[in-house]
Amino acid sequence: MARIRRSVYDLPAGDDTLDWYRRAVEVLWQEPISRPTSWRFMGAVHGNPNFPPLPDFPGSWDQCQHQTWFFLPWHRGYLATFEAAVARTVRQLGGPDEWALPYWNYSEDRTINPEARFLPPAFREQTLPDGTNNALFAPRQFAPGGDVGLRDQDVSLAALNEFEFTPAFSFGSGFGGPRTGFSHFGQSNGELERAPHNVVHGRIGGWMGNPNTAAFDPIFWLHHCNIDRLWEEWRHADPQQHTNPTDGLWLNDVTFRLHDADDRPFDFTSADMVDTTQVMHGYTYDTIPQPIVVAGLQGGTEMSGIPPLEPELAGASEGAIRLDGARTTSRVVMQAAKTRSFTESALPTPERTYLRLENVVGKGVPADFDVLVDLEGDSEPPLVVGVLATFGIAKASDPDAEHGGGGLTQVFDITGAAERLNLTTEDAPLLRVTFERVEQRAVTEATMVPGIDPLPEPATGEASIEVGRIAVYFE
Amino acid sequence: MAMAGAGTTAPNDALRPPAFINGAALANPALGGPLTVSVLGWTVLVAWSLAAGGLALCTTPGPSAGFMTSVREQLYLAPPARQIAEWGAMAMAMMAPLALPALVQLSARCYRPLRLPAVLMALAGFLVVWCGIGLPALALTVAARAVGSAFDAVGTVALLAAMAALLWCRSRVRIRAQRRCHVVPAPAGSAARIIGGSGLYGLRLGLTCTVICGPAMLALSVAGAGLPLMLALTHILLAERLMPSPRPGHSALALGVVLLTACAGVLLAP
Ligand SMILES: [Cu+2]
Repeated sequence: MARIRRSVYDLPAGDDTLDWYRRAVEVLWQEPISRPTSWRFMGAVHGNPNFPPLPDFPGSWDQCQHQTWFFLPWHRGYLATFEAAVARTVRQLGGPDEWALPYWNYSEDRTINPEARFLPPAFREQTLPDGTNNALFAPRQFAPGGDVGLRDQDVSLAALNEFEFTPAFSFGSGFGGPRTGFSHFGQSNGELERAPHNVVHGRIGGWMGNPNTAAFDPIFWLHHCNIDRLWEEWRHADPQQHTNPTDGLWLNDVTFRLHDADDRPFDFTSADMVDTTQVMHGYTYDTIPQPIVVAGLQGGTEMSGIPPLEPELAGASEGAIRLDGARTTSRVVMQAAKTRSFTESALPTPERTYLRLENVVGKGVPADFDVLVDLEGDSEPPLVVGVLATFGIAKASDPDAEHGGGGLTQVFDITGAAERLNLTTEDAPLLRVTFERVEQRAVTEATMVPGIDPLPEPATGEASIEVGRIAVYFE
Repeated sequence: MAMAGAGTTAPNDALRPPAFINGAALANPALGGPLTVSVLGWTVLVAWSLAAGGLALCTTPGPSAGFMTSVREQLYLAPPARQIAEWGAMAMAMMAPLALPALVQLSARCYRPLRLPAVLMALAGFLVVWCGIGLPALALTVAARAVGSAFDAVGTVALLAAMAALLWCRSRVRIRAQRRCHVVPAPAGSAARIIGGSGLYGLRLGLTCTVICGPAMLALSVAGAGLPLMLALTHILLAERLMPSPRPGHSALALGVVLLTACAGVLLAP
């Protein structure tokens, strides 16, 4: 019988899933780091804060896959091994046999669950009612009553409207991310990875804001469980269109290594991760994914069998833009009239318009930025087109990393805004792009388990961020 | 990264045409440019190899003689100008295809009317670097062969050069350069700035490329090898470039086959 992962907010009253989780976290923190199922080892697998390497386990840490089509399958394996380790600990503590990881559905409609955007109650307070330490608390940005500042736009599920797991062109990143080899941190995020995944990391902040400490926060696992569930939801929403890659490189050619509940190596490929009931102990999600109505006609051309046109550059900034201060404004010179090739084709106007932030490089842990567009000199308020999520930017900007430090590239579909601003017309307007820094709050320091050495500080240094180019593409 | 590396990229995957080569894309200057240059280079190489005297690049190192005698002999057989011309043709033939993935990316980030000039500028920059290192590369080749000749050890010198090129596969500098290859530029500003910037990008790409491929090219030219081995080397370097995650061990193995075959040619020469 496969385990059932449930929504943390739908756990029935008196359910002890989170109590057992907290107790297991305490135990796992006390395990020696040399044990692959210890809290510190498992956290460092995602990103090593600054632990000296373990000679017996070369290449076991700094494994998380980001900005790649391996993001989803790697994290699925990571969650399953984690779930197995916690379940084993729960069993040893006298708990139920089949502990399953709950998920945090922060995107839930607030009329159904007014608390959805807030941290689940068990994670909010530093101490338990009896005054003892709460192992589910971790250093995070100040969050009174669990309110980490998640707004509706931060937890948008627009990613579920993507038609392709990995797009044919290197332009966008599709639902699941671009075609790459092993990629600890790379160039462009898949849509699900960008939002809500990266945005939620940044908003919780503290440990969660840095890939080298993120997995040490117990909420990390409920967040990723939700991302994993959304992958299932996306596939079930349209089983014909929403398919996983069939490329041998994705399926079989890259093998990842983690450790199972008995601390033995667990090797897997993406092919081993496609059916959740076959992943290690096997699991399913409590809600049978409902087919969702896909807004817009994004997949129209694909569905009619015509290959999609490669998006074409229609405007770009004059150079790189450094994001200093709370608000930075830049201009994109539209060259539509001169460059539109779709006038040569049968299409009278572009079907889609994209704003792409290219080669975004940075250091430290910079804030996220809301991205707004408007026309210079008009009286309308700017339109919000998305959030520039900077989670992992330092790693993606490291010249020694897999992709040579090219930074992040993020794509926003601005078709609606472009129509309202007449961006696709001949008389090339000047597009103004504004970056508004999302408030970063002070991080509440915390001791998760008393008597345990604190986590070494990852070397972050001063935060900085620069957008290599802002570009508008027509498709 | 030994662990994640436990994954292997199946050889047939490397030989599959990359996803970006499709009908519509072939009209792209980023594909057409380097391919034309490469075909041109190969044509020249084939023509010269068929002509009287053949290619100086392909000759096996001569018999034992003094250092200066060997140098004089090498320069007498093929004057420096001819050798440099051959190196240029070799760079066009073998290296231009390696610029292809980067140029496709550059082109996709340019306004359509600027694609052709930007790609050609970048390709020119790339080839300028490769031709520019021709002189020092040839000087090194002549010197290495002369040393081999002076010590009656042409085969040993060729083997040493091959071993150095294989060890180079594992060096951090080379791996870093391979990663740099994947950074896509974001050309911005006026048309002139975009085209000029593309030229600079081509120079940078060429420099990175010489760091990655230079030692293998040099080892091959010290041993002296025919066109089939040059073609094989091109194929390996291109396959390596197209792999999402190149494996230094695999690269060294594949390059080893080519370079050691070339060395065998020297050792077995009458
Ligand atoms: Cu994450």
